[in-house]
Formats: sequence, structure tokens, C-alpha cells
Amino acid sequence: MSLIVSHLHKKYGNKVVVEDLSFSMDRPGVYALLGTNGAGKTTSIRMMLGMLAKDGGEVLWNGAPLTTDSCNIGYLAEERGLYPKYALMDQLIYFAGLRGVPKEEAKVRIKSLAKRLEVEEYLYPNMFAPSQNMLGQKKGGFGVGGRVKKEKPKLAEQLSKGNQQKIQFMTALLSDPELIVLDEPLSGLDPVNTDLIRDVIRDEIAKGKYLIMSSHQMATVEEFCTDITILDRSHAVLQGNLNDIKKSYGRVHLHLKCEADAMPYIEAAGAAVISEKENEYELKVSGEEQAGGLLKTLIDAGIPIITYDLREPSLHEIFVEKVGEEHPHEV
Amino acid sequence: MKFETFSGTGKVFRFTLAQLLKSKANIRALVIVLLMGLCSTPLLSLIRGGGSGKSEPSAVYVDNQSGLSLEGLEAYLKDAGLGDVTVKIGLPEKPEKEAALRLAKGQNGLSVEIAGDASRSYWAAELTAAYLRRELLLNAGFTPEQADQLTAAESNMIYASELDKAPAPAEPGPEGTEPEEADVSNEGGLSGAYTVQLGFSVLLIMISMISVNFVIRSVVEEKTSKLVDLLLVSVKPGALLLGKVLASLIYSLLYFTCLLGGALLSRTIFGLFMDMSGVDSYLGGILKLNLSPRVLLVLIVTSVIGLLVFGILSGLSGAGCSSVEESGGAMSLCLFLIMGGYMVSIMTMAVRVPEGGLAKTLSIVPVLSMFAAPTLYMYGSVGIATVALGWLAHLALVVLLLLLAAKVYSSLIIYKGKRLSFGRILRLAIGKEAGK
Repeated sequence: MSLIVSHLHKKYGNKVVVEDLSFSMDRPGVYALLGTNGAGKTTSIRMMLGMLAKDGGEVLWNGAPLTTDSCNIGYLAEERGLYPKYALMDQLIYFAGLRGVPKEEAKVRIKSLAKRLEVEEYLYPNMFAPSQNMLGQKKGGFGVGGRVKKEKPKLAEQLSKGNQQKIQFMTALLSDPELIVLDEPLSGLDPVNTDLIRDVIRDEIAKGKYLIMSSHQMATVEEFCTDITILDRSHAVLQGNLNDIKKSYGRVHLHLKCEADAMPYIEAAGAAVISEKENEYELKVSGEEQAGGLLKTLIDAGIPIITYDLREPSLHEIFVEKVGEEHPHEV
Repeated sequence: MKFETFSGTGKVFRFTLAQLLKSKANIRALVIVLLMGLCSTPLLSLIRGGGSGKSEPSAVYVDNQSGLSLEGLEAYLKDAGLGDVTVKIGLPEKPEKEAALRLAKGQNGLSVEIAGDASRSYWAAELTAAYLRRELLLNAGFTPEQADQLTAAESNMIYASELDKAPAPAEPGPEGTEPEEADVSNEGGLSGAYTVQLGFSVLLIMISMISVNFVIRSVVEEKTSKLVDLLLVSVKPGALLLGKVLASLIYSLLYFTCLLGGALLSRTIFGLFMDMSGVDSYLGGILKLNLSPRVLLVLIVTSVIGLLVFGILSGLSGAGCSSVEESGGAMSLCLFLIMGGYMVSIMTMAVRVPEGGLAKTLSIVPVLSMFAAPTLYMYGSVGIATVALGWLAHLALVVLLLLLAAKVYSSLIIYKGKRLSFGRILRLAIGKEAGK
């Protein structure tokens, strides 16, 4: 299977919103679409999925145009929502039905995902309803030994934002899709729920799914993705395999922590200081030679060194640098 | 138009209708409407008068001075729905308490004069007049079939004119009521057609407004719930719209059915133990219209196709809104068309039942035909061919609107910003304008 996005183009009036975007995935994995707000990520995704008419370009899945009929697609949109007044279970079965999943099969998948994402109590309220014994005293649990009061189905509006987001995430996976598009999947989630969703994403990657992910959380993208495109103001400013990109930058970021002030020696070595706090420094060096020279100088000067870490730039640092080049006064 | 454009319509329709029927507010509305229908008979009875006992007379006394044979009158009255009635020649001792008629030869021809209680005698008078007409036609050499057809047509006119000719509902005084004449000549048909047109148009406005309101509300709510992206990846925009339109249409028809069903049920139940004369004299013209299966078919098909037009229009207008607050404005186009159709149909019917070119135009032009065609067909101003031409014109408009919807609905439904007018939506569809 392969996904080829070729020369996507879109404009509204005279304003170009996506300009000549191309990338491909020839094996399962995660492709990251990164960019500033308004860079054109969501518009690109909408065009890829056929929700928005393209002004140019094509999207191929296994050599044929990508459509919801030719490919089983799971999509978590950036703008997420649920019908606020409708029962959650009805909505999930409906969304699964629209993707061609029979009702009974949908119920099985919903149950499995609900357990995984810890939202069973909202989808199966009767299983968690407090029961009453003969004396009318409430009991928790599954109502064993008591009269179970039938709970009303939960509505979307009764859930917290985080739990709604987990339900929305379920909708993207209900059809067991081949291609999963996740637009900002972790935004607004607390650390516990973030980990839950990350685990599920890991599982999908392990199953050999094709994932396209758009996110501002660089650490998450870095953890999952193999290839990236950084979009800025409608066009791609950096594209390729993440490891290759990092290698091309070289080991130029130095994290240094000393027990005494090392600033005079850093300045003398000509390293650029990115940040500094209580004798702990983030430095940008020209390469291993400059970093080694600084290390030797500090040892010769008798400055005790606690941490010395010369590494490739992180995705965050690459992103900031690339977008910063485009907008030197904005970043 | 590709069929795939609307694949998934059934799923959207079933889900939308199921949710509409599960909504507590909607269930309450249906119950209220049903109760309104159930209360209609006792309320009308209170307003229009009536008491205990059945309104249909068990015997009709006839003072026959016409010279015509009344041999078949009893069977005719029974066939016409007066129940197990018997015809007695001559007037009773106290005619003011009975259904009693006097058939006479007047200056303008035969007349049927109500000699007894007005409310009890009214329908017997109308039907006897129709019977006499039939007899005169038979005597003039018409075949029984021809006479039946002509009489049936005349009966339609009489029933339709019922509201204007209804007898006074008040309890008859000890002196009896003023005799009323049910003239054999047909002068009441015109205002009857107007009454039918008015009643039909008002009902159609009610259903249209409910349907339009539901479509716009569900489109805007879906849009503001930020569900659109999720749905559009699974279902085509045309199907998303059409499913909603059909569900809203069914719900509004259900709403109407509850109202009408409640009223009919009420009439049936209360008719068992209450005097329905006042109610019947008020509603009789509509309730006893000769609604043949073909007339009913014209009525239903024309209304449904018309409602489809309004539904799709309202869906497109709703998709141009970005908030629930804007949905009121989105109704304006449909409101204008509904009111336009209503006004034209009743104004053209006010002077006389349109005929010829005007009747054909009213029956063919979309929106206008929805309001006018059924009545014009019922009164014989247009034939089934003209009505079918109107359906084709309406269906062409439906297809055109669906094509338009398929082209712009996905763009509209993810559009954010100031509400788009229908003119701008059209410009977007033909590519003269671009918008996000």
C-alpha cells in the first residue's frame, strides 16, 4: 500500500492557502504535518480526504485516487464535536454505520475501545449504576444484591471535554481504518489521558497502519513519526525523513551544567547561548570540534562539570529555526 | 447526477429521524398536537353549539310538493352517509324538533326548504337537493352513470360551500327556526373552492414551516457542533443534506398526522354520544369532500415534492450560517416563497376558480403549484396531465437544487463567517465567487 500526495494546491480568491504540497508514504508509519497556525495543515488534510475541492494536484492510494470508498479512512478532525443532545452509544453506532461497520460488530469494537480508553462508565451507565438494597441503602458496583436503578443513556454534553475527546478518538478508529488521519490528537488532554491515547496510537502503528498526524506537540510527533513536512504560510519549508534531517544538522546543540559560572569561557569559545539558568546552559555550537575545545577549556580552568550533552537538534528546535528563518521577527 | 453523491442518505435519514423521535421536546410537541386534535371536537362543539344525542336524524320527513318521485331518496340518503335513515312523506306534528323538508316548485325552479330543526335537517336538505338533480338529469335522458358523475361533481361544490352555508348552530327556539333553502342551483361552489384553498394552504404553510425549521435547525446545530469534518469523511455532503431533509419531512408529516388523526379520532369518539350537528355544519364541507383516491394522490404527491424543494433550499440556506443565532435569517428565503405561494393561490381563487391558461400556469410553476394544483384539480380546472407536468417541473427543480447542494454543500458546511445569502451561495455554485 502507498499514499502519494502530489502538488496539492488551493486558493481562496487570490489568497493561496496550500501551495504545491507533495509527499508520499510507501510503507506503514507516521507522517507528520507540522506548521504554524494557519499554515494550511487542516486545509491540506481536508483536500486529501476529499472534503474540500482541490485547485490542483492529486492524492493517490495504491495508485488510485484516494476516496472514502477506495480506502478505509479514520479521521480525527481538529474541530471536534459530538451531537450534544444525543446518546453517546447511538452516535458511535451511527458513525460506525456510516463507515460501513454493521451494528453488532460496531458494538463489539465500541466495547473494546471504551475499555481501552476508560470511558465505559459513560457508554454503559447501567453497569456502573449504584444499586439499592432492600432497605433502600445505596450500593456501588454492579448492583449485586440490590435493585438496580436503570440509568439514562449518557449524552455528549454530560461529559467533560477530555472524555468527549476520547469518544471522538474512538470514532476515528471504529472502522479499523487502513489510513488514520489525526489532526491535533492530544491537544487539550491531561497527562493521564494523553498517555492513554498515545498507547492506542502506538498499537495502531504496531498493527502496520498508515498514520498522518498534525500536531503542535513536537515531542509527541518526534516519538511517533518517521517523516515530516513543515508548512509555513501555505508552502513546505522542510520535508523529509526526520532522522536524516537531524543528521543533516549535525550534533550542534550542547547542554552544559557546571558547578561554577562558565559564561566567560563559553563566550571565549564563541558558542551561542540559547538559554542560561544557574550555571546550566543551552548552547549552539558549530560542531564537535568547538564543543570539545570548550570542554577542554573548562576542565583546564578547574570548573566542575555536572552535565555535558552534545546532541542533534530536537524537532522543536528544528521547527523553531525553520519557521524563524521565514519570520525572523515573529518567532 | 451521480448516484454515489447521495449514497448513505438512508443511514443519515434513519439516524436523524430516530433522534428527532427520541427528543423529549419533539415527543412533547407531538403529544400536545395530538391533544389539540383530540380537544378539537368538544371545543368546536362548545363554540358552534350542539347537545347530547346524535346529530344524524333517524327519520327525514318530506313534504313533497315537487311532483317528482321520491322512491329512491331513502337509499340515496343511506348511500350518502346519513346512516340508517328512513324517509317519511309528510310533516310530523312538531316539525321544529325533527329533520323535516319541504320540496316545492318555486319561481326559479325546484327548491328544498328546511321545515324542521335546521341543524338536523341541513345535510338531509343538501343530499335531497343532489338527489333531485340526479332525478332531473335522468328524466332529461342522461344515463344513470352520467347522472351520477354530474351529481358527484355538483356534490363536491356543495360540500365545499358548506362553511358559507352552514345553518345557525343555536338551539332551536320553541317557535322553530327560520326555514333555509338549499337551492338546487349551484351558487355556493365558488366560495367553497376558496374555503378549501384557504384551509389547504394554511395546513401546507404549517407543515412547510415545521419542515423548514427542522432542516435549518439540524444543519446549523450539526455545523456548530463541529461534527461536519467527521461526517464528511464518511458520507457524501449531498447524502448528509438529503437524509436530513427527508427525516424532517417525515417528522413534519407525522406532526400533521397527529393533529389530523387526533381531530378525526375526537370526531369519531365524541360523535358517539354528543350532538355533532354544530361541528358538522362547520366542518362538513371539508370532511365530506369527495376525496377520491386520485385527488388524494395529487394532494400527497404535490405536497411532498413541494416540501422537498423547501427542505433542500432551507438546508442550503442553513449551511451558509455559522451560528444558531443566524438560523432565523436563513429561513427568510423559504418564508418568502411559502408566503408567496400561499398569497398567489388564495388571491387567484378569491374571485373565481381559475381556468384555462391561468389554472395551468398555477398548476405547473414550482412552489405555486404546490399550493394551487390540488384544489384546481379537485374542481376540474386542470387535468391530471397538467398536474403531472407540474410534478415534473417540481422534480426538475429538486434535481437542480440537489446538484447545487452536491456542488457547494461541503464548502458551505465548513464555511465560517458572516451568513451567506442564497444569492452568494448560487454565485459560489456557478464558480463566480470563491469563499472559505
